[in-house]
Amino acid sequence: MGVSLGLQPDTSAARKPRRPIEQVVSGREVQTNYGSLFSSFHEYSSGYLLGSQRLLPNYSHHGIARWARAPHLAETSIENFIFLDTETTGLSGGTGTMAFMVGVGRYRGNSFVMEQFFLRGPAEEAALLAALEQFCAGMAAVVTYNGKSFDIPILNTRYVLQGFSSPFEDLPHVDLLHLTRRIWKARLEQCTLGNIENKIFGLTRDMDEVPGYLIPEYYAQYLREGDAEPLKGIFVHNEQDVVSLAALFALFTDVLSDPTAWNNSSSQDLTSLGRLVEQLGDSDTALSLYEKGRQVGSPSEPRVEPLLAQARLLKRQNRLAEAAELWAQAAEAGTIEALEELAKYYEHHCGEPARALACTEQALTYLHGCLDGAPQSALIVGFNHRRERLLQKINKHNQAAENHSSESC
Amino acid sequence: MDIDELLSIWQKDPEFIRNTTCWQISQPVEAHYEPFPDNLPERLLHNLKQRGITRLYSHQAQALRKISAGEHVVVSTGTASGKTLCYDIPVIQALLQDSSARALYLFPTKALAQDQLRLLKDLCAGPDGSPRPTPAIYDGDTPAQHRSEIRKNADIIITNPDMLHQGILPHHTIWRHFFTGLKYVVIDEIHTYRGVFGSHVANVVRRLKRVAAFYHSYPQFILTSATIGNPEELAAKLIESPAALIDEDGSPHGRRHFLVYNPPLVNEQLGLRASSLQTGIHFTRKLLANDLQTLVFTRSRRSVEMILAYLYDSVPREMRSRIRGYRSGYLKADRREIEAGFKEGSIKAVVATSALELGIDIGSLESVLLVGYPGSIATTRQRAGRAGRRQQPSLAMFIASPEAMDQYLANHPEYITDKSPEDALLDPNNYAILMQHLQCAAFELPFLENDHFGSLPAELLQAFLQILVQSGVLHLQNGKYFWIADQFAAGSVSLRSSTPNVITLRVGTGESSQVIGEIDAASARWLVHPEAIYLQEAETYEVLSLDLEHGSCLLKPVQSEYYTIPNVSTTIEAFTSRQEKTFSTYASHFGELSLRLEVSSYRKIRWLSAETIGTGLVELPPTFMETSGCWLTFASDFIDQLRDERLWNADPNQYGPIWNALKSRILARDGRRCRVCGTEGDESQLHVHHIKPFKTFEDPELANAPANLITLCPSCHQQAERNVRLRSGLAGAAYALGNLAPLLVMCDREDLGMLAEARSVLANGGPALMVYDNVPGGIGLSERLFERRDFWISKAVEMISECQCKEGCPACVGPIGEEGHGGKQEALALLTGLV
Repeated sequence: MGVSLGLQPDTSAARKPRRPIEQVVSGREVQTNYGSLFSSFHEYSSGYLLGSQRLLPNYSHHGIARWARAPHLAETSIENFIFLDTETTGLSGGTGTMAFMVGVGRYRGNSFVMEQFFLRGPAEEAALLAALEQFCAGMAAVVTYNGKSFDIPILNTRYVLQGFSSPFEDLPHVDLLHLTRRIWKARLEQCTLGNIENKIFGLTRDMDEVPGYLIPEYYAQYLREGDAEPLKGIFVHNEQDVVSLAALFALFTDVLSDPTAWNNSSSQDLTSLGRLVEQLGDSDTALSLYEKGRQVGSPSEPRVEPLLAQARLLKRQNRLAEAAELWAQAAEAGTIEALEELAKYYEHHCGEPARALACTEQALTYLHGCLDGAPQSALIVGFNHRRERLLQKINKHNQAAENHSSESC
Repeated sequence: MDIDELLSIWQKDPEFIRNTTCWQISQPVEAHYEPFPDNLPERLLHNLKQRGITRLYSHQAQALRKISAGEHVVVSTGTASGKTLCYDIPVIQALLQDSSARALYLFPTKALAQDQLRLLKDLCAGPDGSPRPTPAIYDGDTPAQHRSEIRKNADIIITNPDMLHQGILPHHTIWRHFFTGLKYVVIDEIHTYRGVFGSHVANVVRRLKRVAAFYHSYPQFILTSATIGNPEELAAKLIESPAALIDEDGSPHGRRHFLVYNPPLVNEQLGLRASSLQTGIHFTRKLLANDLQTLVFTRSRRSVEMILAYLYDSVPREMRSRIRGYRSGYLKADRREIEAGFKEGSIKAVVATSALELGIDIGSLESVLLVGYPGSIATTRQRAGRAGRRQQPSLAMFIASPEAMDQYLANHPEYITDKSPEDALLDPNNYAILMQHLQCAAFELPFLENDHFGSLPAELLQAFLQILVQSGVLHLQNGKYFWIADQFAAGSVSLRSSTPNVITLRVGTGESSQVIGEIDAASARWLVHPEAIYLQEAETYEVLSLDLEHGSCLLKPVQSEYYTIPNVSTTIEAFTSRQEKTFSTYASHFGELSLRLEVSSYRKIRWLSAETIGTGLVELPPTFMETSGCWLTFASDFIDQLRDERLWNADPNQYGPIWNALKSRILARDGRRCRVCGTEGDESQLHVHHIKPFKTFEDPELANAPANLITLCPSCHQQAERNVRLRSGLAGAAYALGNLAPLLVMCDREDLGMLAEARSVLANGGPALMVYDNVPGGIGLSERLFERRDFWISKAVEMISECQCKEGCPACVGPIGEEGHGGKQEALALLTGLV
């Protein structure tokens, strides 16, 4: 068959150091019914600050429970939320991707505790999964950053492959990436955890860290060569991620607990939060957030968004006169949506075709002046159509008026 | 008028009889029915009856019995014999009885999956309209938002091998309920799984069985195959278990006529025959005039369009919409519409390429014309089998083209009618293919130290896994091989060698722009190069631009007096010999090759007269195929020795010193006019042709006798040459070796390419023979040929010397035309010298 079986004698092995993980990272060996594994333990006291942010929330978690569509979580102790982040042998997912490190944390009393379970070799996986399940005892929800599409499916797969049932299957899941995107996507270019720490908590990550895309290769190399020294940075990275997760959770818990109390001077952030709150069904709070969004922030920040958001909500509540005031403000900035809404309002609600026509003409002038190309042409067609109709209405009205006046003569 | 009556009229035409070299009549066959088994669920019985099915054909009943006895089954019966019910009935029955049971259906194409889903939905329909069991398609076209729903709720998953390989097996944990219940695996149309593709699919089946076993499922396999030589063997190779063969067809058919028709000679002296395309059109018109539904198969997309164009010109306007083309390149929606129209009868004739194969259901019809030999006996029978209604008589007619193979078959029709169809071959243990799937399998589940992989024994598997450990993708710990690479293993393994890139064909720009079709990027270079005339549904378009990078081609409708034919060339751009063995008469090499495939120019051919009226240049970058090959070069004294014995005929012709003067004399004699079509021209535009080939004369003076010379235009010359082609011993040897190679390395013919060059770069300008892997990158086929060259060459010698033919035939050195010279003796001398 021509297959060479011989293992190459590894002459370099003698020279290369092979430091085991126990010498590199502080931690201990944990025993389970399925064998042993390595674990590193950390505890953060209640006073710990991540940049400007505490790890423990100040207020109740009913808001975040509502956002997670699991209102019953409001009743459970906050100690039953599990914060989790994995480091894996690959980024593609599928059955061949293994989590070689799982960092998990939870609140205990006034502090935040976490453990990092680590596979010294893939054969320790059953032990890791068992230890993880043990740490999660009493778990009511899992909190992750992008865990819905990455960490949790991988862990579920690992449990199935080991013949266990996964403790995360069908569990309420608070994926803070989704929440982060809702609030900051408009303002921040990247919603990576690192960028949030930097822009929101005012923190810069350590240089010791291993960049995420290199992690699988570092671990594969560790398995081949046995030297754990390069893994130090991965432990740091993972610990940092879990701690940030708690800090972010604390922030969102407080913000969602009383949204209007959010001490934030960004018009965009407040508008985004308003939209979120509106979607959760709390219109009054949303209106005050939009209101606040119109008033705060630097003059350079666009204010049209909170205006329009507020007007849309008022329209939905059938408070058209109030909405029209806001549209009129937005129309001054040449906002097409506002002009269209105003035209509709004047035509159908107020019976003032002439004012509606003025808005339509303004929109058309604006569209012709600033925009061209196919996507806008549908808008122009729409406004032209409206213009025709309004002109006819006005004509008819004028004729009727003439007829009326001639009769009276 | 039915087929019998029409044929009885044709039969009275002496011309028709003269050209018909074979007329085989199979008498009508009554159906062999059996009642439904008594344990069929009421709901299924009801749905079958709704479709007019009240009993089973014997082969269906037999399949049901074998399946209920737990055997794997392969059903190989005729086209339209109801193979689908052989698996649908037992699967639905079992799934109705056990709500946790699941079935997996594999079809080679997405189009077939759509067809099957419709039928399954009917058969599964419940009184409230909701189907049970629930069938669903899960393939590359399934929208992401529906996928988890399908995984959760579908009982029968319909997919293709590619999706199973990349989309299901590597994610098997989210399919655990499906795999846990997996009871049946249906693999339809297994004859398509041969060669490299088949070897890949066999490994996907190994992975499927391995994953199923992880969930304690050991599914039963139900396979179907069209006519091939070895359905039972192919099935056993594919699933690595014996499968009971069911091939006694119980379905009825009317009288069947199979005819071989050789278009008449139009120039006896030159052996020129009437065009097979025109003959096909002629018969199509006659069949249509009698309201007989006709399917015309041709060999190329271009000939589909040419036949359509000619047909449209010669039928009443109102008939045109009832004659359609069918080939790859048409939009999916159009194809579905044509299939449906043909099935319900509103479309009377379809002109198609092989795109219409693969079990696409167009119902049964009255006549099938095969214009040109499809390339294999199996395909000929499969296509001819499309004709045949339950009661009425039917006709299948093979119309021979002027090519040597067709002419041989026209003169020896028993080759098609009596010889058994070709075997389908595959080799799941091909090293390159196996290594790819071992990685995919290791990604799916870790291998254990005492594991096997399908029929691959444990010790070999260990050896291969060790290689993967060395390369760093696997890690061995406690007797388990873990996948540790940061790669999605299946992502880089494609089951099919062709590229999936498509070029969109667009007419007009901006808002009025319209997409008229799409074709694969590989064909685009020669079908829609700039300035090409592209034909679709008998409309002619000129190609304005081709943008390969963005996958778009811009066309404009034109009225064109000509069509275009590209000049395609394959040349050896570079080669590196990796291994070499030198013997007294020859040297054998194995190495890497870079083949250059290029369309550099095209010819404009006038409609009807088929004369060349111009040429053009094509400026497209060439494509390169990097692959590996095995080649033979010959010692010059060995060739000299053959030359001395007059057994070497691959040298270029030396027409003699006075040839130019002689040529002018003949041109003057013939009035500078092509003696066949009458085209006028000057010396550079006309050729002088040897009526009897120059090489067949010992004395050049006799060959150059004016009576043996004639003036022809280049296009008539080409046709005349085709008829009397002289096959060199070198080409004959290449043909024999090329035909044997797939058998030796268990691949399909199309997986290997063959090149015979009298003056080759491989041999410093000397003669060379080469076989190469016709798969980018190569997959080790030619390497095995290099290793087994002695066996290979001696088998070829044996095959040629034992062949009963005189001058050469498709079974040894290749077919010869009526006037040709087969080169059998020369090929035998060449190969014998190598043993």
